[in-house]
Amino acid sequence: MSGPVETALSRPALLSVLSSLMTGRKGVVIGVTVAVLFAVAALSALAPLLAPYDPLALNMTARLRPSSAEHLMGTDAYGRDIFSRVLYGGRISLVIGVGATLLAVGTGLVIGLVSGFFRAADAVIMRIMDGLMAMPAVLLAVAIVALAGASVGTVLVAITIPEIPRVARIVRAVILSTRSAPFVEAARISGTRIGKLMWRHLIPSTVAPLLVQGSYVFASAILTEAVLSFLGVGISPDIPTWGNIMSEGRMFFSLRPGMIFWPALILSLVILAANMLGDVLRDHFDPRSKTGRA
Amino acid sequence: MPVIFYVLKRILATVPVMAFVAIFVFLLLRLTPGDPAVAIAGDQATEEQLRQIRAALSLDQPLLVQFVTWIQQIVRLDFGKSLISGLPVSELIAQRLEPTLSIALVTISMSVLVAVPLGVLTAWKQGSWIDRGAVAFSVLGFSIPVFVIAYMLIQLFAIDLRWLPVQGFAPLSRGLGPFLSHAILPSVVLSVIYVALIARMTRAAMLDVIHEDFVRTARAKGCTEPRVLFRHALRNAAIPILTVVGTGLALLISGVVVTESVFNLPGLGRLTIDAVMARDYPVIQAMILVTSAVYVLINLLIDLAYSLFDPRIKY
Repeated sequence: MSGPVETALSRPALLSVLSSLMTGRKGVVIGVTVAVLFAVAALSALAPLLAPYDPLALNMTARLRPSSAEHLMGTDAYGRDIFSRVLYGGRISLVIGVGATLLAVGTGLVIGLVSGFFRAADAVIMRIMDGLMAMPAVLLAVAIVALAGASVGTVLVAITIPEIPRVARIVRAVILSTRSAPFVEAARISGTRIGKLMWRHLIPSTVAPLLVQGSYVFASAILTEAVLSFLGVGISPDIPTWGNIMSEGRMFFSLRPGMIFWPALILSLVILAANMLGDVLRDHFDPRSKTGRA
Repeated sequence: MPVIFYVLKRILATVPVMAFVAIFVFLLLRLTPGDPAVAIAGDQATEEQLRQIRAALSLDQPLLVQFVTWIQQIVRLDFGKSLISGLPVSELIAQRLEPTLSIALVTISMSVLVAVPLGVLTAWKQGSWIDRGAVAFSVLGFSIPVFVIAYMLIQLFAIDLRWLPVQGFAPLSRGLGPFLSHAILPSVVLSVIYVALIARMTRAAMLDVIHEDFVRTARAKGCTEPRVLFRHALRNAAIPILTVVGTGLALLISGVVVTESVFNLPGLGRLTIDAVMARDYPVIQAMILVTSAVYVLINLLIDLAYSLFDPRIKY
């Protein structure tokens, strides 16, 4: 570090972090996982161009077909092309994944900052977070969706809420250990205003743990969306999502396992990539840590 | 500080947590945009139906009055009546308790019995192929949806090999054989993520103590390797492992909902999903409250257990 005012967010520091990440085995894992995530994102974004069929078009003459050159992943009970549906389904999953990550990290950051910095609020906020963590994520999400209706927005909020406490706890822990560091003391004594103090001196130290937790939140959000859709309490079955395709495959799984297998394969690949990315980032930023997620 | 004060302090600390859960569950219905009675009954409900729902949930009273009466009922374990069947919710829960409890207990015992030795082994043989394999398994376990694992195992063991029933539940009163043959697949499915979680934590906790002086001393005085690992190292690594067994319950409860749906088990998870489909709000409320209370209670017991039985912990 070049000096106490240097922050992790400044450009040269960020570049050196990035370049140190891209070396050796870590670099390979990061390269591969990021490539997988971008590939799936690109395929989903380009779904209108790539999909051979309309994902909603019914075709009663071609129901429950196995995989073939015509239908790469077969067709479902209404003759809809599963490959096209998987391509379009990726859009919802990724929107939910990215949206929940941004929302959970943003909200958790604010809550953690307040909790770690203003000791008066800490006890109350942390009990609320404990309470949120005590409610099983799927039950909580299911209850919210049941009441507010199954739109993409509701599902997003329902998936985000159970993720917030973990983010908030991590941020709080970082702030608690940073706030008494000499460079923060120095900044405070020299009269730095609270806003600037947080932005320049406290928030930068949360970036690394938030990157790690963000990857886990992304993985977990996509998984929860699939579970909700699978249970029939997620996004409306009219919209193709990976969970919805698998949910419709339940009835036919011994006849046409592909209806569950193909979406599950892509889904697991994305979640696996995000989890591995999180693990590599965690090992990189905290080499002492060998433990599981918080 | 005498032990009893410490125990009381820990018990009291759960009160604000459960209070928040109760307030949250209470407000969830009231703060949802729109008329809660319409949210429950649907758009086509008649004025009469709406009035009945409002009366059943006392939605026609001031918010504070509603809350106080509701809390008074909850404390007496009265969760109100189901809007669909009219039966008391506590009765519905009691009816559905056995399958869920059975699967959960089989899962927890099986997971701990598999995961802890696996974690010890991987820490002992750190860097070996078995270690790498176990780490890969745990990342995979976190990444494949529970229901996908369920269908893969059903296809293999119930449909192709015909060793086990495809779905359903047999109570213990029908004998141990039928009970286990029905319980084993759902429990294995649920165990995957739980084993991944516990094995990972056991490995990490063991790695933290395995290079300590007391482990070397135990070896030097001639302890056998299993004794060194299990009597000396594992006992000192127990706290984080026990903790993750407790916090992992949250994952387990979410998993139960999915597993019961796949295996068609008449348990609490199915009760919840059915209630969600029918917007049977008293049941949903009660299920969140009860599962949160179980989670908080078990974590409290684990916490108390190791602070009371671990001589290193002073209060």
